[in-house]
Amino acid sequence: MMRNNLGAAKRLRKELQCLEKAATNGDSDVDIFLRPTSPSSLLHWTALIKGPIDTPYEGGVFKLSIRCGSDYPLSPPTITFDTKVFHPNVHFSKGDVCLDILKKEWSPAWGLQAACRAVLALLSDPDAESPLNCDAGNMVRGGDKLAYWTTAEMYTFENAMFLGWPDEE
Amino acid sequence: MSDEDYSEEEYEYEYSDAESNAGTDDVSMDARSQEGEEEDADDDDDESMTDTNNNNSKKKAASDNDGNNGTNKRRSTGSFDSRRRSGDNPNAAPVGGGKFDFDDGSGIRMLPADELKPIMASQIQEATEVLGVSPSAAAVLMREHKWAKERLFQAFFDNPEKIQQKCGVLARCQGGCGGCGGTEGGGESGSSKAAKRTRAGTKKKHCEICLDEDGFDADEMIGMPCGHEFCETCWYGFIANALEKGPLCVRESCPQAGCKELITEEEVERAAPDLLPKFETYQLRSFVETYGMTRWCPGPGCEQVAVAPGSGGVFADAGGVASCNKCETCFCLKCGEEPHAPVTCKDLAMWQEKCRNESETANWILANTKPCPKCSSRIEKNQGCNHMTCSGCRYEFCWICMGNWTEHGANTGGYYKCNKFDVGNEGNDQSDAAKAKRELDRYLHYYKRYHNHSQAQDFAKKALKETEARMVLLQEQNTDTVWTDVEFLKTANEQLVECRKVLKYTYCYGFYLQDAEKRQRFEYHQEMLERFTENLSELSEKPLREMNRTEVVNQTRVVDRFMKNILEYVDNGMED
Repeated sequence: MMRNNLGAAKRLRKELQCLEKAATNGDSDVDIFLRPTSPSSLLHWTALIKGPIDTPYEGGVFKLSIRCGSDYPLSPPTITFDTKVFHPNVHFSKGDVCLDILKKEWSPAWGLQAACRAVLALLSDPDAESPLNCDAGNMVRGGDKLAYWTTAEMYTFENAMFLGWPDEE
Repeated sequence: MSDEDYSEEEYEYEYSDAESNAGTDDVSMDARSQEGEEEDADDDDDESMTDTNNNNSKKKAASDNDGNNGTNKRRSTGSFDSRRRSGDNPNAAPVGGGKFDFDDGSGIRMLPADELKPIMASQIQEATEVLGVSPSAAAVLMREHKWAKERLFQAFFDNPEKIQQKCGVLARCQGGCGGCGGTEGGGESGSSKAAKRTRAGTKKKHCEICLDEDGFDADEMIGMPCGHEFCETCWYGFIANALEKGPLCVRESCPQAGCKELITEEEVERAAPDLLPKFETYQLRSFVETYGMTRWCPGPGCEQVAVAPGSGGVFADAGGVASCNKCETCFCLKCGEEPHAPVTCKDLAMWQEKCRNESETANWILANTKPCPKCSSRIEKNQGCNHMTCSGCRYEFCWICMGNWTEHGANTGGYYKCNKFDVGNEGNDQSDAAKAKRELDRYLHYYKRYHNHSQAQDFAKKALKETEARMVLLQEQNTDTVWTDVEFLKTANEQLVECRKVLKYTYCYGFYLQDAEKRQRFEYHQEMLERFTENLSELSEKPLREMNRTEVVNQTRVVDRFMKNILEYVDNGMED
């Protein structure tokens, strides 16, 4: 649909403007850095998120790859982890994320930043009942917090400690 | 009045005045549901029925999302505006030599999907009046309660707000004006951002979807009853996108994040009037799948709907066989499978589940293997002596007593015996395995025969196509015969297909038949039918030169009577 295609680009440009404005005002989100991957396409974005404190992901910086369809925001964006992460709802090798708001609970009034915030919330609050990573899911479901925590922490140290946080100014 | 000859006026009357019609026997819907109010037993049937239906609809929905062909199948039903019956509707009176009657005597009617619209409308109308809510809200409430009026009414009057909230029509019912939009600054659940922007002073309204900074005039915005407003363009895209998702679009909620208020035909009509027919098609489809008195014809690509008669009873057992007046598919009204007498829908579903899953494999393992006493690997002993060496952990043990082999030797009985075996001790362990083995053997016994008849049925169906050619040959062979003289061959073949089908299902029936005495009697009848069927099969497959018409005709008649006997026998609870 032509109308939607234009809509996606238009809407994403708005989102980018909002992010840039927030950056110049110095009130952008401290945990999320979100920009289009390349200037040539607004449909493909890259996000960096900081592992939330009091989680095994604390201290890590995780890279997300975000793809929007031409029917965005009517359809949700696809988000995958580029950084390897051990989490019940993230596919261990592919990085796919299982998150209801990126599937059937998506609302066109959400934006990419809201979606990233939801991913952050997921890191703090794994849902073991619908695991993409069964090993992690079983640890959480089985009540073995220590095993889950140490394994996730190990992968955080191994994979998520190398990305610097971009300087926005 | 019979179904075949009702006229347009009568039809209109049927649905427009449900109350006064409850007594007549071919107005099914209202009469049936009123009965349901009074009889608990009836209610139970309704419950189970809705459940099966629901499963089915889920299946359908799922397959629709996989590939689009399913979606198109229903979607192409077209606009409802053409639904009003006209005299030349081919389904109104199939007297024009059609093979299948409109009402085949079972009271089940086959209608084109469009003609269910008035039934749905009358249901919604009633809920509208009783609950005092708008028709669009009533439709949602009814759908969410699977059209079980009584259940809805009761729950609604117990706590209207809870039900409205649960079904996503709270604002629609509380707002009263049916969502005229125009609420300043969004509803209380609206995002604070929207509220801030509106308060900021501009007269222009903002759309949360496109984020257009110029804003929109009030008349360019369309609002939900919950107060959330979006621009016309985004609304159109949103609805078009929802419809792309298929049947689930009827449960689409407000575009605002986290808002649970459902969109209805009101919003679709305002935002995307051209898509309204499609939306209504999905609404009707959902009605057919959840109403409990209706079932889509399972024939590939067929869009007819079977409607149960109102007098009850049909849904209670396996007796409701519908035959489609368009594609000639025969199916059980209750479960949608091929007619499956004498077995009940429930037992059939269990049987199919059993045949599908691999639980029997587990039984086999239990029956034929023992765990290594040391590492618990499963070991199957298919030959040789009792001196076992586990291939996993190299542990040596005796197969009979499961003890360490070092304790064995000539003094314990040698390689093929073991006097250490303690029956009392081993008995419990053995009996589980033995029970599983017996159960497995029993299942295999029935399954083998079920499968054979199933294949024979397919074979007979194929043969049916060749029969016509054989009939032509047979007629040419004897110059003085006419077509009706050779028709016996076709009748015999049709009888064969029918018998194979019934025989097939007698094996699932037998499998679940607990009473040993009844089973014995049942198996006697089954065996007779089997013998006669084989006999008929042999006779009708003979080379044409040796074909004996009288013999075949007689055998067909005998087999038919036997088949009916066995079904009747089961129906009567197998009392002699």
